[in-house]
Amino acid sequence: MASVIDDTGGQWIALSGLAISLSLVLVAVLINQAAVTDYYSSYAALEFPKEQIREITTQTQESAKGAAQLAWELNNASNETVLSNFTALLGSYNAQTSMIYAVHGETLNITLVKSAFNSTHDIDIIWLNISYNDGTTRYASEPEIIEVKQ
Amino acid sequence: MNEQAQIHTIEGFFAAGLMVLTVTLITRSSVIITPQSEIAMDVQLKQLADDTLGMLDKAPGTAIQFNLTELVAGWNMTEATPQSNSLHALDTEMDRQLNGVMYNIDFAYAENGTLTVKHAIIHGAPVGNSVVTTRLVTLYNSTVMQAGGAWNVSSSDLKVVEVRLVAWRV
Repeated sequence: MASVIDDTGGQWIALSGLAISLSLVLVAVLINQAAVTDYYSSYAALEFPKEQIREITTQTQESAKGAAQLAWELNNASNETVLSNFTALLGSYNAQTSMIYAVHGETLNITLVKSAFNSTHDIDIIWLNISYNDGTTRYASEPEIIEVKQ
Repeated sequence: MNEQAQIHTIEGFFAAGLMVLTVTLITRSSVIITPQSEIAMDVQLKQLADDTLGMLDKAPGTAIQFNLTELVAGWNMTEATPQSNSLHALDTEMDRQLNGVMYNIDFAYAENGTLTVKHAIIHGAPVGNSVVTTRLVTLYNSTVMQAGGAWNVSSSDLKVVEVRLVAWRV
């Protein structure tokens, strides 16, 4: 029995086994972390309403320009008549878009803050407040400044 | 008595125990998700669908014949009739961009205080991993008249239409 205890040659085999085992565990943990990171980054890309927010601002800018042009065409006797027409058109746009987004479980509200006219009663600049909320992400552009004639 | 083999046997058991322990630890702790997992594929498809609608909406007239607003404005308000109106051009453009991807297109709009959804283009029943992307277009009376569509838009009002693209891979 004494020779067995004195024989230390097997310790290296045991130590090598331990080192290899620990290396394998480390590699497995690293691979696992990378995979989980990939999962969460993909999930976040689907969850965040990037396209919706971009769409709301670009479409609102376009529609406000179109509505300003139409408001002027309907009655351009004075700044007040153009503003009245534009307010009605923007209200219609807000009501329709709000209903469309409400079906997705999202709230959207677009309101007119103020507008600036030129000498021919054209609307030059529009200031709007845009707010969006999907329950997780809230976005607000207050004000969104739109240069109509640009 | 030769005791040399006993230590070899003990070493063998010890090594085997270590290997079993390691394999057990790895298999129990790993979450097997590869980069080509289902959700990563969904992200790619969603991006493709978003880009397709965005490109169709924003591309200049020199790049494509009709943009999304003109194609929607020219609709005859009858569901799934691509052979007889602007939906044919819309279907052709979408098919070119979404090569190898199945899709349906719906139009949603407010009418008399309620939301109406019409099926414009139908290519089949969406499967479980479908993605939905949307785009708003604003129609005016002049736009509809110019495109020859059947939308009822007052000359003093506008109509907001949501184009819903449902895309899936088969």
